[in-house]
Amino acid sequence: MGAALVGLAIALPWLVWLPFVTQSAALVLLGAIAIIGALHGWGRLVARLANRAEADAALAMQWGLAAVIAVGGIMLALRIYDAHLLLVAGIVMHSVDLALRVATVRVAVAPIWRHARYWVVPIALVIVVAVIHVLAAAGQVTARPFDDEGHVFGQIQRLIVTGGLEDPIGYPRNAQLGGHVSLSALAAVFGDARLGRIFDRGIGLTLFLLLVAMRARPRDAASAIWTTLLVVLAASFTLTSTDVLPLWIPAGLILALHATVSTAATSARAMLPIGLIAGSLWALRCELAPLGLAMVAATWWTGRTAWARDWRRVAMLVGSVVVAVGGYVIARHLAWSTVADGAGVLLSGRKWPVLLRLALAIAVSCALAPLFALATRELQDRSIRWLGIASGVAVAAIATRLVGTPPTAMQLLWPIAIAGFTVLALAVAQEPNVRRTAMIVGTFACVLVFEAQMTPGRHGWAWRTYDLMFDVQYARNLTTDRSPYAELLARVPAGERVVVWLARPDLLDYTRHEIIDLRTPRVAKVAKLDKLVHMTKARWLLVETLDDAPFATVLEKAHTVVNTGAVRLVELR
Amino acid sequence: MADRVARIASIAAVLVLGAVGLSLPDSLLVGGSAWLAFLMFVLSGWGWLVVRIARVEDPDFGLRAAWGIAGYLALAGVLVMLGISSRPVLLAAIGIGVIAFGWRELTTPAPLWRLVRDGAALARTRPVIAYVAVLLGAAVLVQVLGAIALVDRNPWDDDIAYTAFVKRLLDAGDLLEPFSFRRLAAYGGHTALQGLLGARGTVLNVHALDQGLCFGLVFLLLLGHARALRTSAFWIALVVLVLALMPDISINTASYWSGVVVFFALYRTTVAGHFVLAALVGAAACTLRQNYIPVVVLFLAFVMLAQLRRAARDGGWREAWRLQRATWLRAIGLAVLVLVPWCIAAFLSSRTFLFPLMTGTWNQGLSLGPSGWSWVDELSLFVTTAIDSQPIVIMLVVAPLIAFIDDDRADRPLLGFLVASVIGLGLLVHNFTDADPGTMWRYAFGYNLTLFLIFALEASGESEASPVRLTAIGRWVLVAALLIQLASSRTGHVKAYASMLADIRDAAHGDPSVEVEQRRHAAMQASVPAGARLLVMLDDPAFLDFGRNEIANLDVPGFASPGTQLPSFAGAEAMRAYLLDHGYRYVAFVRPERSRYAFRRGFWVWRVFNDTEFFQAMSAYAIDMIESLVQLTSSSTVLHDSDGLIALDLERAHEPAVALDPAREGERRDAFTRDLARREGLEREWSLTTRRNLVFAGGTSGLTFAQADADAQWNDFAVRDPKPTQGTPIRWMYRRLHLRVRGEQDMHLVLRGRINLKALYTRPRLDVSLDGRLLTSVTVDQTGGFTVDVVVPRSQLDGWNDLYAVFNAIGQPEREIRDLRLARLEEVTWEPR
Repeated sequence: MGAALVGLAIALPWLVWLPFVTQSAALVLLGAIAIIGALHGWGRLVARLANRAEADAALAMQWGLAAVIAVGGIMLALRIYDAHLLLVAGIVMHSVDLALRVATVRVAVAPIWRHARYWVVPIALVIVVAVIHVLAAAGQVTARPFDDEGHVFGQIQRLIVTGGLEDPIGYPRNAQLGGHVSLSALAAVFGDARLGRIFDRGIGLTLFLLLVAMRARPRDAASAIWTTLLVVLAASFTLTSTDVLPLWIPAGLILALHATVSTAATSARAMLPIGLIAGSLWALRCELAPLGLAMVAATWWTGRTAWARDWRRVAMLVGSVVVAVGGYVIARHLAWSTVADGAGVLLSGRKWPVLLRLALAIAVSCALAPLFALATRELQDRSIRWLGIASGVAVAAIATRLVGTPPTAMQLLWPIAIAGFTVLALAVAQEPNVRRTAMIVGTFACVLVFEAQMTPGRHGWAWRTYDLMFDVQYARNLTTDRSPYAELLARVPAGERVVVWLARPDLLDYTRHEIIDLRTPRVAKVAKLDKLVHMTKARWLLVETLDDAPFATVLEKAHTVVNTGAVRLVELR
Repeated sequence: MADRVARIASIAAVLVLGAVGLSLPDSLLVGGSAWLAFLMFVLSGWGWLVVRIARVEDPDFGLRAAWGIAGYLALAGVLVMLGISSRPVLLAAIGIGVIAFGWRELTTPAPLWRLVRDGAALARTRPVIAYVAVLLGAAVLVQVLGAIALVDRNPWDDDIAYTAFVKRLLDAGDLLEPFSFRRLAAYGGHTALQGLLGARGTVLNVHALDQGLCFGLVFLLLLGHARALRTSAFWIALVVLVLALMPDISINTASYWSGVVVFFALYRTTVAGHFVLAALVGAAACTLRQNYIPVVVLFLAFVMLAQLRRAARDGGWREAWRLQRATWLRAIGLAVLVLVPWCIAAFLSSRTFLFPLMTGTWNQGLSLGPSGWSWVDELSLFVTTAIDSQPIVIMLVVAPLIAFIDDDRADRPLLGFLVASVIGLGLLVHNFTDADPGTMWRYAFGYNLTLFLIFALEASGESEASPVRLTAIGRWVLVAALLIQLASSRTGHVKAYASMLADIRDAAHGDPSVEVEQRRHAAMQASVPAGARLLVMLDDPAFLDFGRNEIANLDVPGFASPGTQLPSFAGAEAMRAYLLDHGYRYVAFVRPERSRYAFRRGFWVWRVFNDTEFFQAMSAYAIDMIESLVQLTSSSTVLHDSDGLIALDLERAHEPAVALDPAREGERRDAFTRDLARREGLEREWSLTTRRNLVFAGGTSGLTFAQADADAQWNDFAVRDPKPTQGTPIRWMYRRLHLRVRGEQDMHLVLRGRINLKALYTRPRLDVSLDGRLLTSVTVDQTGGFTVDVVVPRSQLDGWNDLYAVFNAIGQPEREIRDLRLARLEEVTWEPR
């Protein structure tokens, strides 16, 4: 049985490339499996490098996620990002690793067979939730026109076809470095850029649930009940993000970070996954950097020894964080340097001085962190306390705007809360007796599920599920869109710089022109827009709007080459 | 001596209750309450007969009464099959129950009076428990009295069918309703139980059986089970409180609590190891609702197979089967014996006993499910049903707990019941695709609530010696679930109790409309010769005398009919020919302008353009039948035309009835609806309505009316119109319109609509695709209008196809897509080219 399971696990990620897999829903599902397989492959590589071969599959997938973010960042900085390469390399590693470890895997899955009764319900629920959410995320491709199609999908398309994110305006700016875009591009391999949406809401959720199940390790009624409760709770949870913000991926990474820290060996090599996860959290969203860094600091603090022996650990921790985040920092710097410095000022909102924000954040951290740690007093687990303190620091940093800008930044509190709650629940699930914490966590989970059910209207769980299934239906009929801009841009000489403000920048050909995406609501004012367009030093403007007001000054000085009524191509000088 | 006197006094008291009920047929409350209490003892008497025949130990009152129900239903099936289940026979059956009750009282070591004495003793020794019990008992009693006093019925189900079934049973002794849609899927067990209530001389206490007698029996069953399990008083009180405050999800007088009674009894009987008796109770459950059949069969199969497996461990399968074969055969034989008469009765009436697997008199041209339904739709319905559980609100958390109990019992009945219930619900969703989650849970009420109650009781055991154990965190989650259930049902209780008390108060005055309606219907019926066959389409057929005429009830016109089937959409003369050829010379109906609910033509005209596919079809048939009958009034002998009721004599020379091709029924219905739209000036509404070859599958609002001139920004939908007009029929479009289409030749597709450019600031493009292939793209014009006009070649059409029209820019991140009101659809054409 174990060997058959390994064979299936090796074969599954390759199925998506079979010639008869053409139906869009099948492509999406098998594509998601291929991505998960690739992440597992990368994770196993990390496990071998870190000398932590005992890591279970779900934890390895999270490590793989961090590794892919890190490698993606380096490729991005070198402008050689290749999603196919990342995927195929990951799947090859996955297959080879499994083939080499058949006996180990058989031993590892033996307890699952032994306690199959306790695994059936939670795993069945995970599969149902995963399939629905992956397909629904794929079918949701037309849901959020401004943030998704205006920014993220355009960036994914650019990344896929050019291997880089050179756009100085459309490039993710203050709150993110591009980690999420580089991850999402993996999904686009199996369709178009809009499939990037499946990464967080589909694959991210699936990886999170798998990690929950593997950490809880259902082996008796209590652990099975906790696992089931957590899966139901996650499925019922309303994450009302208005764009393709990473939420489940960071939740999974934080959970994995805790799991990695709590079981860390003290060797320097064992620090690799910790640093990678902390760095990848940063690369995903800057708001999550304080949490990752606080956990890194905690790891060092709890295992510190004489410096002569300790420096290797520190170097590995810091080095792996730098590896994960460095590529993105370089890539952003390179992108920003292609336009005048003033552009950054135009695109940034007002903020208090950094020192003031830092001071405030420290003050709030001091107030919050003990509170977070207090909740875990009953559980004699030091790593939970560290996570509590790290969460306090992260919440304080977001609340005082030290990192991120509202309202988007506030949504990043959710992955912290979800991961924190899950860690608590998993900790009490291991306890033989039900203590106060378990009662509180259990009751809270029930109340949350009830609230999800009772929420009236469209935010209610049943209604949201109906909407998800409507999206699943559409996932079976995905169309490849025709670019409405190709004909207009054919008039622009190849290689020219074009400034665009379009509804669907993901339909542009980024290889033919140097495209700068202006689609930033902050500059949708006449004076700002005029200045920004001027700073890009572009000769061409392609704009899709009926409302010419923001472009009034620009258009006055320019010559409209074509105006289809909806889209206008303008020569600026 | 004192014991004997007390026993005789008990019997006498019960007889007095019966006498009061019988002598006060018009008294809703006093007569109804006395009769209901009397029936409890009658059923207990029937249960005693079952105990004696089965030679099993005498159980508690609740289980005995539930066995009594099963025993009575076994007999009632034969009576209904033979067509002799009229009031005198039912009274005789009640008499048998009384005698059996007396027999038990005189011979049992645990007579009723001792039960009362023990209760009083307990109250003295444990006053707090007694106090709580009295409080809870009072809450239950108020509900029972409220059910007895409640005379409001559901006009769509009870008035036009269910109450009439009971009246037919009492008057004629049968359930022959070949024109009834509701009879198709019912064996009639619940009607036979209601017949016991009606046997006292009135069918006014329509809710007394289910929400009164059976509701009370559920508590007794629960207490009996709790006592056997030695459940703690706190836990019992919590479960009883949850049950007493359970939100009422019933919408009619069909089986709800009666289902819980038989399922609870089925479980308890099975756990006690009385498999043959369990088969009897299971068969009784099947007669209440046909969707209970899979649950009963699966549960019994699960438990009995588990028994067989256990026996096989000791001596092998062959030996195990040899030992248990007799039990299996007896159980199956008894279940078949009970069900066959009901099946025959159903077949005699509707030519089916397993609808919809056997369609019987069901209209062959109709479908129960929506057109083009896919596995995604079905999965969607199943998942949303599981989430939106009723009346147990967090069933999705509670149900998995059952899978994790440690059950030392070899047959693991609780797990078996869970498996059977989940599969039963799945099958229900699979077969009833046009319903919503609320309807699903109503149909699943009997086994769903039973599962919850049994689990709540059995999982309460903290002792290691308990045969059923749930881990501590599981019990805690269960307590949380029970408390959440209580909290969720807190709203509405004040109103509900106020309403019950008002009903109880008003019950003293009876229902004044009864006399008027009885007179009105009697006058109409008197115009029809006694003994003649009569087809009726009335709001309240229960006011007819089913013994005087052979009456057939058209509860849902066109959905069920015998022989060559009603020639709907073929005109009044075709209808006349069909009815006369099938022996229905006389027809009675209510004038559409006088109908209370069910046969108002205007209402159906509204509904045909505003409801789901199933009810759109229902509307078309109703309108056709109403129009045909009104038309026949001018060409037939009018026997009675007074106070809104009409009786016709159809007799006249006529052509032979035509047998229409059911395969083309949809086409005829479609043509009729389109013609109706033309006649009513509703063609634009029609174009936005689901039809035979086009289904609005999602991505739009329902049909509504907009007045763009009065509200240029389309922001304020609730615009005040000084001169009310209908406005422009539209559907608000979301970003993605989903239609299902089909066609047998090249089809012409036209979509017309408008965008609010003033709010959108751009002219979006609309991409139209069929099964994932782009058909065309259209950009909204300068005025905000768009027209998609494309011919879809036959080669691209294969059965039902998914057609999507997707805007490239409709939406605001902060606003819900359904609230945008930025785009509207004004016309959809899908016709052969």
